[in-house]
Amino acid sequence: MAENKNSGGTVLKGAVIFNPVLIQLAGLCLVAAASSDVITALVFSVVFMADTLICCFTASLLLKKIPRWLRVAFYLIIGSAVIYPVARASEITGISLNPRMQMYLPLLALNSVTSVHCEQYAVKHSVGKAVEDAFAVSVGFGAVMMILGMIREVLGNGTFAGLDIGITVKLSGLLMPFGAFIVLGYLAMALKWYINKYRPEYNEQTAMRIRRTKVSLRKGKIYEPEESSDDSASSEPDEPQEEGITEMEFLFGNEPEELEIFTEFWLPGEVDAQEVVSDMENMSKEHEQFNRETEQRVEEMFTSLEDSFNFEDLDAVELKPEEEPHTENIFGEDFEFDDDEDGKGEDE
Amino acid sequence: MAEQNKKTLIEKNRSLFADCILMLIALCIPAVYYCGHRAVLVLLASVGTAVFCDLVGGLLFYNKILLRDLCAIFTGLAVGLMLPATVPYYVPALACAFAIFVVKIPFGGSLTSPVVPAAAGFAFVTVCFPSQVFSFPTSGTTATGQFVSGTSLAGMLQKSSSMHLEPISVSDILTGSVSGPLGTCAVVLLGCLVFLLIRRPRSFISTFGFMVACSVMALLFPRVNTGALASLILELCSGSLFFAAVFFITDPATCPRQPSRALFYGIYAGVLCMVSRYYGIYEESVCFAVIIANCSWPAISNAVDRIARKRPDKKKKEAQ
Repeated sequence: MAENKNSGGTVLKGAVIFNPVLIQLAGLCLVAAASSDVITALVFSVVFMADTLICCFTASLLLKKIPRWLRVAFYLIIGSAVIYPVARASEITGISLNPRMQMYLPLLALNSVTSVHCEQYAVKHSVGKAVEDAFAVSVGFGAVMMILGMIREVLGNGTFAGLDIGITVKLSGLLMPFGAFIVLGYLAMALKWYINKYRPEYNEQTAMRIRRTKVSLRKGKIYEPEESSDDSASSEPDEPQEEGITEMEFLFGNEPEELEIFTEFWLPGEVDAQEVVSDMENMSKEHEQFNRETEQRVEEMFTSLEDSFNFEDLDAVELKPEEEPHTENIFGEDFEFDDDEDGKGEDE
Repeated sequence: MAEQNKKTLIEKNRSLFADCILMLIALCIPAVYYCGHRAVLVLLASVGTAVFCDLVGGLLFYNKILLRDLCAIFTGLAVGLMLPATVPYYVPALACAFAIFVVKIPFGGSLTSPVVPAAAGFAFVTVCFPSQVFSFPTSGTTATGQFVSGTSLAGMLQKSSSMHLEPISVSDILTGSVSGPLGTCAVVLLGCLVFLLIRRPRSFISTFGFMVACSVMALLFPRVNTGALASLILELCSGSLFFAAVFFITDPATCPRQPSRALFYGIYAGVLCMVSRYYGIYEESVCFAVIIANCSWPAISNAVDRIARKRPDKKKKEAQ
């Protein structure tokens, strides 16, 4: 982001490609709670933009040499200083805020989007770049809020900005938070589709990157690495047979091999591209090594089979009709899944 | 091998849905008998929308037709049978569209959906259109084209605490000749239960746990003060509790496969169902209970696993 000197490109990146809500998944609760209508969404977007711009500007200008633990407190103070006048102005002018706004506006004082961008970008870059980034993020956040507010108000309430537009079938469920999350999910899907199709260079960076942890799978139980090492030291694997068969075991077989399972998440856009690339390289190296080891094992197995096989007995071998496959060969000893479900009553 | 196993799983899943569709068709017969052409139209709207959405969603998201898993037909029939005959046609259509487009398709199909699509669809229309979903006609009036508003057993249970069985014939309750959703004929549902026991004994385990939990809760904490038996019959035969026990608790994607776990899952869902009935704002909240059970069961199961896994280690350490 910092390397791109084109400001339009930076804004596009921050607002669309690394959208704080749809791609970085920050501030979701606030968005879901406060985007039930267009007017509320607009007010929140404007206040958010003011808050983020001032926070990032201050962080870049003044807070670079302050310790990190203290900076977060400053963000809170700045956020409160921005939001308090809005609430106070409504009291003075007599313009009553929507109850939803009154409830959720204070949440903007320390929202995760502003804090993350102040910490990860503003304090490491110049004022101009920090403000540019803050503007891009605010535009992205505001756009999502407005689109979400529009969809929810039109479909859920049958109005647009408070005006009746004549929709008789109102899906009032969309006005609830679960409706917001459903719409957000579809918006995120649409944005990812756009990136995949028209901006393929950002595929990796905007994907939900997942960190791998090794676990050991033994007859239906998943062991974490530390515990699996303890188990391997002991002679018996803790009677895992009583567990039955898992989905993973069903799909990948029953070998007590170590599998690499994706468990931990980090948010896209919060890691450097260099880090992602190096991680990918490491992954590919590990996969290559694994393939080499597997090939070696198979080769050894074949050579041992060739050694033990007596070719003179080949003439004596009679071809027999193929036997029916037994479930034990595929699924392990305890596998009974769904065989009895056909009504044959084999084991029941 | 993984591909082969997956194909086997899909085949088993389809076979299970085929059985469920057979049972649902049996349940449609009394619904059509009592409610006439209106029931047929509601079911057609529901099944048609589900099939259409599944077709469009499959082509749009996966570029293939997903209809072969029969989940769409099952969802359409199940949603239709949980609604009253007088419901506007857009309600079952929206419920099925929600079930397919929000629950089934985005999560990868019927094998991997985290909650039962039909339950989610019904819950959605319950939240959006509670007045239409819970306005039941008096039995026998829809067949003649006249709609007389009635009160369902679940509605009575929610409002009244001094209900007797005398004014309501038990035979009417069992044959489904009372105000309520289309698929409430208890006799046919009992037949479905026997069918399930014969055809799929493992699926029956969770249903058994569910029914036992609901029965025990109904006996221990009756909502009516006219006896435990009245409470038991009214609770089990009202609303869609029995229906959910047969069709939703046995869903292959969400029900645990190990028998002991399936039993506990059924008990857990049953307790949740009764609690939501006691404290819920809607007269029928079994779908919400099913959804909560679907979502929370994996976490509970994993927590139990961890506790069970750590115990022997502690004992070993203590022994050392």
